[in-house]
Amino acid sequence: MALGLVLAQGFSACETVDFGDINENRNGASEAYPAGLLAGAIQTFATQTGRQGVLNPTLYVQYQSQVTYTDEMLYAETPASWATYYNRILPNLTTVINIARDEEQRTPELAAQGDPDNQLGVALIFRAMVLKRLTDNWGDAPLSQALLGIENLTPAYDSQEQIYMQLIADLQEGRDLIKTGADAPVGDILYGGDMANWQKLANSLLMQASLQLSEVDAESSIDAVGVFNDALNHEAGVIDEVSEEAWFKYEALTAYQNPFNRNRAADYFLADEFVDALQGDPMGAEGSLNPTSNTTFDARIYAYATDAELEGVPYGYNDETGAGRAKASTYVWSAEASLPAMTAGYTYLNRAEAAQRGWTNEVAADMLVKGIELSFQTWDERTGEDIASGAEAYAVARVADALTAEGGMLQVIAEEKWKALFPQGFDAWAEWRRTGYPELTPAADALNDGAIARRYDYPVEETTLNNANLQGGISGLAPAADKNTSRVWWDVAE
Amino acid sequence: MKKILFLSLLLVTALIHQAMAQVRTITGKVTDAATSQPLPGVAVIVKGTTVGTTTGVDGAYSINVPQGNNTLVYRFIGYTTVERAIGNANTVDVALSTDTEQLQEVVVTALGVEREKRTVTYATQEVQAQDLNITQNVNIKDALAGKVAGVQINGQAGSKLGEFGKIRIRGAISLTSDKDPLYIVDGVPSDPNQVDMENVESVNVLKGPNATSLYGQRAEAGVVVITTKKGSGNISVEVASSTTWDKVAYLPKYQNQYGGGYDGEASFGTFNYGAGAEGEPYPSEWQVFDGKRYLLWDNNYADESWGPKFDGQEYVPWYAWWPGSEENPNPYFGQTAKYEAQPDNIKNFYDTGVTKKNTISFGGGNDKYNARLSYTNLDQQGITPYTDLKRHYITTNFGFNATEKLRVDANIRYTNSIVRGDQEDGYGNQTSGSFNSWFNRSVDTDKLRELKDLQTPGGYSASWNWWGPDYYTYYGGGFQKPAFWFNPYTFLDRYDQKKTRNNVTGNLTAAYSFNDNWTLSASAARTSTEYLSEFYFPFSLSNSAAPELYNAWSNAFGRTEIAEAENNLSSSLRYENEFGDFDVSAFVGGNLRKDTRDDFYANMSPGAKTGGLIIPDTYIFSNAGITPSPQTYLEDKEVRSIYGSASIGFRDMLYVDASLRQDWSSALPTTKNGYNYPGIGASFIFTELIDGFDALSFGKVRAGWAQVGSDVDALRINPVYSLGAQPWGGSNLLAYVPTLLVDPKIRPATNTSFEAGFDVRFLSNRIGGSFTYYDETREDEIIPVSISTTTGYSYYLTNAGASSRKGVEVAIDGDVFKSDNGFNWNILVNYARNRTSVDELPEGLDAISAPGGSDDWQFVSVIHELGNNWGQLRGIGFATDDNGNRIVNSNGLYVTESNKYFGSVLPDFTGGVLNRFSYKGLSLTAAIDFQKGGKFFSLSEQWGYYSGLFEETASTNDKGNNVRDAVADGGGVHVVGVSPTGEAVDTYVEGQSYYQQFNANSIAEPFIHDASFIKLRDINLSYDLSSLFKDGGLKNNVIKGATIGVVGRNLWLMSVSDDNYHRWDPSELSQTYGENAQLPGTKSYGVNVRLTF
Repeated sequence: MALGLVLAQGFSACETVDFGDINENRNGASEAYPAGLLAGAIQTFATQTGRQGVLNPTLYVQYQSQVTYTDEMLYAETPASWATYYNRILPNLTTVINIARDEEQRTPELAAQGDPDNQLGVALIFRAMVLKRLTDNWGDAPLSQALLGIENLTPAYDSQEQIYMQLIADLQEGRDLIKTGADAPVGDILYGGDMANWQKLANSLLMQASLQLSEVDAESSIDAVGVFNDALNHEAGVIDEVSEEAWFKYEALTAYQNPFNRNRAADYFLADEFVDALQGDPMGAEGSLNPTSNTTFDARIYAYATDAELEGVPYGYNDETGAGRAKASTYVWSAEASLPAMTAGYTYLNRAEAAQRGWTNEVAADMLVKGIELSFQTWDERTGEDIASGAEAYAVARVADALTAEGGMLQVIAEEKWKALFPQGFDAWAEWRRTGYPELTPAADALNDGAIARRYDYPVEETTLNNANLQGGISGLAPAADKNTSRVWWDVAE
Repeated sequence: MKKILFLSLLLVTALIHQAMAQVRTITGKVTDAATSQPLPGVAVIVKGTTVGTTTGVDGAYSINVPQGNNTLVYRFIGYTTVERAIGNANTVDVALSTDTEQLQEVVVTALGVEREKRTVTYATQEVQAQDLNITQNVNIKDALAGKVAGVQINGQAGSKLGEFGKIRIRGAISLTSDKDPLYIVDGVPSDPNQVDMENVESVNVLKGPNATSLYGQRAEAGVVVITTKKGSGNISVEVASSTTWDKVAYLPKYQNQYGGGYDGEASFGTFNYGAGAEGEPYPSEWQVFDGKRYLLWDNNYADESWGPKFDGQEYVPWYAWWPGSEENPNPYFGQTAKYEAQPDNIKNFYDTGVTKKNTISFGGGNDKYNARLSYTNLDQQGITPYTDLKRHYITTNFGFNATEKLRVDANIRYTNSIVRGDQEDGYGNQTSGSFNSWFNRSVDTDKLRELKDLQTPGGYSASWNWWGPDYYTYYGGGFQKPAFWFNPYTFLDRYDQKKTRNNVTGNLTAAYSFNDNWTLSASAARTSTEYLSEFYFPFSLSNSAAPELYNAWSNAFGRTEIAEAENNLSSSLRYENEFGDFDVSAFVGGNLRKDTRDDFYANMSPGAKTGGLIIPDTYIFSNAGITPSPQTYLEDKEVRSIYGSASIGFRDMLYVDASLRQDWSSALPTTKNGYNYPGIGASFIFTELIDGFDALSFGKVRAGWAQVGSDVDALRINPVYSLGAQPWGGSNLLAYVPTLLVDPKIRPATNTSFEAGFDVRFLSNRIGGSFTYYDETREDEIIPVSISTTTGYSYYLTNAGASSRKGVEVAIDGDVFKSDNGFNWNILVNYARNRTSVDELPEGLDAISAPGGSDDWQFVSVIHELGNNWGQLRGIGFATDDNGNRIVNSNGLYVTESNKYFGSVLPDFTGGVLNRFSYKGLSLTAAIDFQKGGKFFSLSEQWGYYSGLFEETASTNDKGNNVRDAVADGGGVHVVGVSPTGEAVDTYVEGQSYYQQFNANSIAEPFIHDASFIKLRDINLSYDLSSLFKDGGLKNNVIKGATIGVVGRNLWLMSVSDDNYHRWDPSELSQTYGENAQLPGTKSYGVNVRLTF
């Protein structure tokens, strides 16, 4: 019988047989679900872990030192994968954006996941945050020809300037699309649907991004000053209260945990440079490795360190021991502790710098004080350490330091950004590269040619799979070599 | 039709004509020479005529012999053909002796078609039970080693219970797959690991497309056709019992001069009780250690052996610090030990594995039925402590001739197996993953075993690898905990892991013969496996773990259930006839296959730092701190096939075959999912034309052309949006775009093969040889091509790439000595040479990833390089100048070169020699196999260097000093090379720096070796006591026969390549790229007894 059946079928349709839906894949969703893609993108970005995902920049800026296994601290030249960006975060967000932009796909089902304009706005703002991290880490990178699948298997690299232009435009568009009165996107796991805060976040990000171009502003076609002022003066406002800050949230499930927690804490200690800066050991004093102009005890050490009294591990040696040294606080390493994405303190410090540079008419010292106070306040609230009360005195002392510091107010502001951004190493690393503060000394036992890493090396697969375009990307570096000491476009300061 | 009628008429006329001639009647009986049992079904033919008959159930025959003929020929499958002159006798009794070598034997070819071996148009090599089961092997793959030309065993050390690696036939050809062939047991696709070797009658290996074309899309890696034993003759009972002992025998060479630590002599310090630690006094019981030598700070937890030199003086060993508990006191508390080497600590760690296998089988048959029922119990204790395998096999075979025309066959096999204990076999496992990678040469195994339940005052499990007294004030008492490693005995004893597998395979076949020419058969077959894996990580271990430090474990459990089934419905119509000089056999058939897979699992993560069980050791999911989401995986696949084949023979000398199969697969695109696979072949037995040249008793040439394909897996072309493990915040679903792009026009890859060869036998079949040449190409490879991740995807699945293989296979067998009842020596030699080359890759790529992956530290990857041999090892190597000198930095360390190719993992040639000696009832069988070429990588060696465990790291340099001595004192490793600017360099590098540079710079080259070997794999000495029971002193009516034997397995790795200094057994590498800190190899010894009732 089977024979007859098969024979009959065989001869009636030689090319193909209809098997119905037997090959339908029931192990996932066959259609895009924008709310899930948005949440998936935010969660993936927030939980990137491992050395390249979270730890390396905390080493490069000397927040932490390694013991026992020290290669990353010593700037070992290792290609860094960006697959998480291009295979998970960016395609997720781009899919959300493409669906929301397509009038035909604006169905009731889509609207049930939040107002499509709000979905679009939030996805554009978050994607801009991701793109800034991407280009700050590597330099030029595919964007306009990227994420097109079969339509372009070898995307060309956009210059960092083009990427900044795009991300600034996206932030502005996203901010302006958002309707605070309409339904928030399901899947907003950053702000839980607070659309006003998304607009403030967009403005804070615009200020951060435009200020990142301070040293190339003159040559760039981007009007950084204009972008900064537009954001600062936008009616939606900027993040200026702790309650408006963007913090990534974590959960107990291993895949959703704070990315620090998933690493081997035993290998990481606070760098003594950072500890001395917090303890206020004067720069140059015996035993002090403080790379900043600060000489005042900084109470944030209670939030940042396991023990405010202990020293850290001197940075950059392959044979240091951690016995009896301070580590980053249990808050930082605990599984469910939130981590900062954009804070009020950092926003004020950006305003302070812009004011000092003459980009705005605000008073730099006032902004600096406000920035420091908000930084103390947010860590006070996060960790429950009673530290905010000490903020004012510390801030006043720092304003005074600006008078004596060699680099003046800009130096103090940059140093305070370094302190305020802990433990978020990526932004601190970008700030340090641009400003040169604090004055960090390269690792003594460096494995590269003895300079602090200034970027991630391009992923090794690009050499074999997209080499011609990669060479275009490399040519955007200075010098034009794929090394961790080469500089990206905006990194031109002495 | 008219023609057939005419031919029939001719035939009838001829028969009548013969019947009318003068005849005389001869009667007689045919028996088996060995057992004296009557042989039914023997063909008795008057030589030179077509007159013939067959023997009845009692072996008797009666034949009318035409006048003028004086010779009878007795021919029966599996027995030597005998010719007997009649003379004046009226009765001729004949005893036939078995002959497994003879060419009249029938072999089972594709789709279960039985053919006379002499007519087959491609190379075929069958292995019989006695050669397969030399050492009572528990698996079919090792059993084939060296016995079939072109079959390479990628074995797995027997220490991994129930897992047997894979075999490669003719090397490999697919660029994307290096999988095991298809195994068919009595017509049913089956899991080879579930086959009871005790029931295997024979195995036929179908090597290339010429032999496998009728399997269409499933045959790309070849097919192994297994035939099980069937009942015959009077009902008999057979009992077989064997016991095998496995001893760890193949370990790398360790250094025995330096113990644990990081800092050489400075690792030791003197314990100062009074000083306390960081201002806190030590516990009072440590007063006894005041002034004693102990390991300082991190040297105490060092899991490396760069510590002090052994001097035989006193020191405080790891276990002396703990008094133990009241119930479990530590007899060694407070006592120092001699600081000395423990050369055999690793060998002594492992148990002697014991495998007990007992089988009872019942069988019998006559012209109405045949039946066989067998039960085997396998009980295997692993070499890794606390591991075992228990397995039960039930095998049944029934055949029933319901009417003269209808025959029904039913086979059912059931296997149940339970594997317990830790089977981890890669980097980081608790035994070999520690001993060869992270260990101290000073650890005394006897103490580990004796003190496995020793607890510290804090209630933690005491380990050789603990933080140490100097960390007394740190980690809140956690200084007592293991730093990286538990005591391995404690770990293995307490970590409960269990894998249960139930496999049922059955088929039911009905065949109806309309007449002598037409037979219709239909069968239904199913094989299904239910698999359950459970693990329970106990509180007693997790409580001693240090999640915040290095050793993260949590009290956790989980279970995975997999149900898989394959169902086949098939039918075929066969036709066989003779027309004058022509033999015709043909069939058409169809098959409907449905595969299903259903996984369900829920696993807590034992490595998680948080979320363990709330009530310790209460293994219920609602007790989990973080409840794991249950996960499912479901897939179905259906393949419909029709096929047909025809063979025409001319005068028993020329055969032409043709076959065609069409497959439609549900896994292929709906626009086109049907493809066909043709094959043609011819053979010519030229000795039929030659008369009078007696030395050459048989000669055949053969040639053929055929195609097979490869399907894609179910769901492969339908990627989906994956979802996060569970909703975020309890309600926000996380989703992720797929990263695989699929070419909508994907089609199966196609292998096209040409094969030619000859078979010859000389001196009345005493010596024979077979030679085969093949040339096979594979096109349209379905490759998940790596693409730049910036496209949004990581792979593009499309047809791209081509490969080819060419090779020769030679098999020679012969009776070196042969006498009727004296000494016999038979030898079988196999040799096969293969080269697979990578001819085409996706556009723009000069290399792609090959199946086989990378070691756990990515030192090497298996890569296909365009234009080169299949599967190259690639990794970082030494940079050299144009003259081959290694380039050396100013510090004496090597300059490296990335992406260096070290050669193919495939051997140049493989083969085996099987010797069978017999003298009266005594027989000796020895199987040797060998391989030349191929490369492998050893991860253990890399770590063995890094951690100062292996012999080289404490060797003597050319100045006569230890390489660990300071260079200033004449120590260090002598390095000769050139500087980056080309000047000669001749210097010494500190031993530790030298041996750790390979890890620091990920240099794979020193750990890549040639995989050549010669190995005495199996040896068996047995004695057949049957004559004692039949006629001798033990004569009785119950026991009819008995055999006893002693066996040895893996006894002698006769030769390996010189650069394989640590003598890794290249035939037992668990990974394609080599060795990933796997379990050690063993030597096995066994005894067995077989009784027939």
